[in-house]
Amino acid sequence: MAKKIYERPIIRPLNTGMMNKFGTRTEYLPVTHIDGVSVKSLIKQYGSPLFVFSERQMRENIRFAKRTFETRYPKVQFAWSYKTNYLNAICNVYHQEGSWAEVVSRFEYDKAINNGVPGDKIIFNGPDKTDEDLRVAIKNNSPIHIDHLDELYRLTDIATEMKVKPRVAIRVNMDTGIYPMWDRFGFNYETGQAWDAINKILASGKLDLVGLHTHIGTYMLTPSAYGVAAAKMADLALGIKNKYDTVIQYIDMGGGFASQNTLKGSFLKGSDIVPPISEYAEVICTALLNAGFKNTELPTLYLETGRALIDNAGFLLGSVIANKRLSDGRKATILDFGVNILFTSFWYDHKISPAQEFGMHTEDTVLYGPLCMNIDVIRENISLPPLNAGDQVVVHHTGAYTVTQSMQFIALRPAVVMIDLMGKPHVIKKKESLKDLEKNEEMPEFLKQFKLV
Amino acid sequence: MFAVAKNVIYHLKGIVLSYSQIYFSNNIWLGIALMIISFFDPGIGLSGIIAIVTCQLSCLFFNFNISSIYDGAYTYNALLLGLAMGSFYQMSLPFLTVLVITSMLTFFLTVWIAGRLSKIGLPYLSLPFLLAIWVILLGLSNFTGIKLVSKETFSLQLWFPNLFINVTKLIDSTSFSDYLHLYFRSLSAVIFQYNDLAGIIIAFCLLLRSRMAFALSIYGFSIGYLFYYNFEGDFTPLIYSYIGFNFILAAIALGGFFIVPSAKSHFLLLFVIPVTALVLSALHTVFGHLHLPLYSLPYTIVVLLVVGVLQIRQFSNGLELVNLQQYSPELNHYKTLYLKKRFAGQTYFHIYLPIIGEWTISQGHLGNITHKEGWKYAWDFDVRDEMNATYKAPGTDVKDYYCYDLPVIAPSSGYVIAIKDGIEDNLISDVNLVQNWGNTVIIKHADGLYTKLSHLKPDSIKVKEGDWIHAGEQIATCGSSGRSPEPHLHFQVQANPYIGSQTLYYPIAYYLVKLNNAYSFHNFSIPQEGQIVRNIIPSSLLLNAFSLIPGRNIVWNIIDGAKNKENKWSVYVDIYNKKYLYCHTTKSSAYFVNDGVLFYFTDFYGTKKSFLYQFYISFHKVILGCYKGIEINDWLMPQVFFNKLPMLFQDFLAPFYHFLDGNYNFKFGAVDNYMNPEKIIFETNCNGRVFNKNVKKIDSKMSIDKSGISIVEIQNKNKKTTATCVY
Repeated sequence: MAKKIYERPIIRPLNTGMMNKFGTRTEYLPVTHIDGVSVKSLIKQYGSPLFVFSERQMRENIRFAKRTFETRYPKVQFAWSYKTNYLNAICNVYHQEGSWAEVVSRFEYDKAINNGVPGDKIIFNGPDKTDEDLRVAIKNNSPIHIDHLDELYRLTDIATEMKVKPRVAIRVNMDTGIYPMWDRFGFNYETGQAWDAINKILASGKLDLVGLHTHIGTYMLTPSAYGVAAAKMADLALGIKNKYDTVIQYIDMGGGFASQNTLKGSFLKGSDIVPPISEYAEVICTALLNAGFKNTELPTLYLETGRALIDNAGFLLGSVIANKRLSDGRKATILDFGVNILFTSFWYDHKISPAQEFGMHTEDTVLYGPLCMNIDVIRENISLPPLNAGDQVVVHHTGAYTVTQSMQFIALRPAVVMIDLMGKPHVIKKKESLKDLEKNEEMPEFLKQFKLV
Repeated sequence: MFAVAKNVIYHLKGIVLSYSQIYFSNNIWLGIALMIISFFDPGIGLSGIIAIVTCQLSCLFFNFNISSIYDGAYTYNALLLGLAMGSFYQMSLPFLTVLVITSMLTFFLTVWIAGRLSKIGLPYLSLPFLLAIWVILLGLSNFTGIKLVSKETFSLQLWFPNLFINVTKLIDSTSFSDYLHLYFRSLSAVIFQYNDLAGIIIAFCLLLRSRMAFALSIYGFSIGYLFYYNFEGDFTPLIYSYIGFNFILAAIALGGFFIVPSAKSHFLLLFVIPVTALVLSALHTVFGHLHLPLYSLPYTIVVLLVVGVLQIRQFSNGLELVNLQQYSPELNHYKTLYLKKRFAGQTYFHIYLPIIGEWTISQGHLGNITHKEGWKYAWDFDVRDEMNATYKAPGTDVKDYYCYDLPVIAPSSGYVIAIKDGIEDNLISDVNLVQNWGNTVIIKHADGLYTKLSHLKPDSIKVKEGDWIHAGEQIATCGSSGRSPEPHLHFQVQANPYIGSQTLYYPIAYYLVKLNNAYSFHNFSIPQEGQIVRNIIPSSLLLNAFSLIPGRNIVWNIIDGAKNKENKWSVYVDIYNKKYLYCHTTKSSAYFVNDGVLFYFTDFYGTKKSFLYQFYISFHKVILGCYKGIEINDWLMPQVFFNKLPMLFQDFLAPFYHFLDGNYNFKFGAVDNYMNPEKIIFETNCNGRVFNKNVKKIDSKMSIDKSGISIVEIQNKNKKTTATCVY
């Protein structure tokens, strides 16, 4: 018989909630292994904290999403959203699965090129593209998604000067009945800005309008909004066909599908309210199929899904530094990872599981990070079994936006490991060192010598 | 002026072709040779031509379809009549009067008999001639005023006796002299010559024109000869007017002209020729009393009998009637075989898969769950993940199944004629055996061709009874109603419009099969259980490049070795609604079909030196959907690769064995992107093969961009042809 776990005593008030024959339990089971590799061995080998990605889960996600869309619409192309996670190994998993690249800055663009993505399969989005960026994209025949009129004018000038016809799309924003309405990117549909831009492009004849792009928001819990958006995009495409006899090759519905994380302030858990990808697929594909395109002129559906394809494939492993009691009596646990590497904890209540067996009692706890900053709170309130210093925890759904948004504020960034299909871990990014940090620093000559007395 | 000259040329051609028609050919040179031979006796030759011209003028005067005299079809019976009369009588005014009148009679008989017999798909052979000559022979005897002088001997023989005697002596010196005399004289007797020299020349011309016809003439004659010889038949009728040619004509007609030459057609002659011999003998007995010659009557009767009987078979295997007459046993053989290889499995009406994206055939034809007995030709579809699971855990609800609620599309265009809706989806593993088909839509594509889609989700049917729906239009979503333990789609083709009708064996026109992450192309076949299948979505770039709409012109700038030339092509449609590319420069035509998924050539007429011919070979079959790694294969006729000498041997052997053949392979080369391609290069390899070994090669490449076909490169041996599409 296994040795019983010792847990320090806890005091908790009795509250009259719904009767439950199982008593009050923690919602979570311990997570001791990820893809068959034990959390303890990972931490032992690569240090704590540690980002872990599951290749199996990533591939499963993209294949599931592809299948979901491709069995509803004949022409579908996914483009991996680099900003969601642009570690090269991660990108290449998606590229291997047939995804193109969607980038929003020059360095992401160059990363995609270095990853071997052909130029014409890199979608160049974003409001900030310099003249030089545009020239490079034109040379590589990348589709450029125009965000504003100033970019349109500049691009027209550059195209005239380079004597080529770059492939472009315009980004369109619109009212899809949701709040907040994203109107800061692209041209508005309802006010006619989008048509204004389309007219300018097609009248000038300097640019090759191949696509239309929209991205109605992020973490969208209402699939029907995508149906509205797809219908409006199809309307634009058909209007362009009617007015200019130009066939729009693709409609890019952007991203924004929710992952199973729980947003702060949400009454229910993410896993209970987030619609499955099939519901997004259903409304988008139905809207496009029924829009009235000719069979031979059906536009390809581009999807720039990031979050929903990777969030559940990423885990953050960490360790308990200390426990303490706050002045109001609440329990607090200090972990070795903070908001500097888990930036998403500003808007998510991340699911966190202990990495070892525990008893049946839980206690409301505040989880703090290791930073010497008041803002470093991972969870304001979480019900966890008593954790001891040195215990490990696993943070779930940390695949999206964590690695790309992490910074070395106070603490350096941890290593990133990917567990392959055979259950073998590979370091895909080494732990940051002081040398990395100071690599680009320079010391003026007059500051090099000093004597501190 | 020009039009008149053109007409005269057509008429002259018609005269010459009348001669070759007698030997089942439409070759001008054979016609000219026979015409010259007929002038061995100028009287015979002249009356033959007078008869043809009379016919042609009758045709013009009475406004008959003029095209039938251009190929000699309406005039060869009159020619026979002219030749016959020329061989009987001296030239005189009464003779000419009778000749002109009876030629017109022959023409009328030809038109009438041709019209009647063509309705039942039979040839008229020399029936008009036979009727006319009997009318003359029986009818003239009462007109004492018409004095026709019978001829004794044959003119050329009088002038150059040695020539004929020496030839006869030469044959006498061989060991089979009896046989050879009879063969050559019979061969010449077809055009009323009855001498060895003419026979030898005709045999040689026949060999040049068609190896198969030549071989058949010897084969057929030998069977007849041996039959007579072995069973001690009376050779008198055979020798008297050399009507042994009936064996020769029957052999050519049934061994290679009306029937595609094959081992079976040769086998058939073992039966047909003895029958001809019996018929000949029987008729000789009857007609002898009437003092009427038999001429070609026995063979005409036998051919009409055999062709007529073979037409009413349900299916044919190896003994095929010729559909489109090529006037050459060789062409009949190669073209039929090649068309059969290429298109035998094709269905006129195309049925596609009723799904979007990749689905798995969970139960195929003759499946061991429910596709049995009368319902054995059906397919079940579902969607699977990489682990071959049809659902995402836990799989206890229909919604966990990947295929549940996915769109189901019309497999082809047609009317919705029956709908069943309102049956609930089953719990997983449960089946509804009362309403076993579940929610169902039946589409009528044609009379006797229906498709049925079953187990649909309740209330998901988007069409109404009577709706016309297009191929690919969504009709419902996949559900789990009826006898369906888990969500799947049942699809079958049937001959009746009812829910519950039995299935019909009908192939899927075009689809792709995915295996090990690579697609393979399948046409007119049956998707098998366990295969992952998908429809082919044509690429708009390829559709645009191959959208050859009638009236469209294409101009090519061709660099052929060091030469530079320009060819202009146009797209036309013929009276049978077939599209073809016509090259104005070389006056050649290439027939093609574009069915939205494939573009392929079907036939070519014109000069093999033209660029159109090279194009016809090099891009014989092109797929219009752009998928990585797919290949298509096709066949080419051996004539494409091999010249006359090897083909000579192949022609003799062809009915029994092919050691020469040609194949064709198509694959995609550089494609900028397979999703929305803007630049496609594809490559084709054509191989001429000897005993299945590649010996001749044509490698070609075509580049396609937004404006259509841009550049074509063809490498044939050391010769490289590069053509640029100018517009």
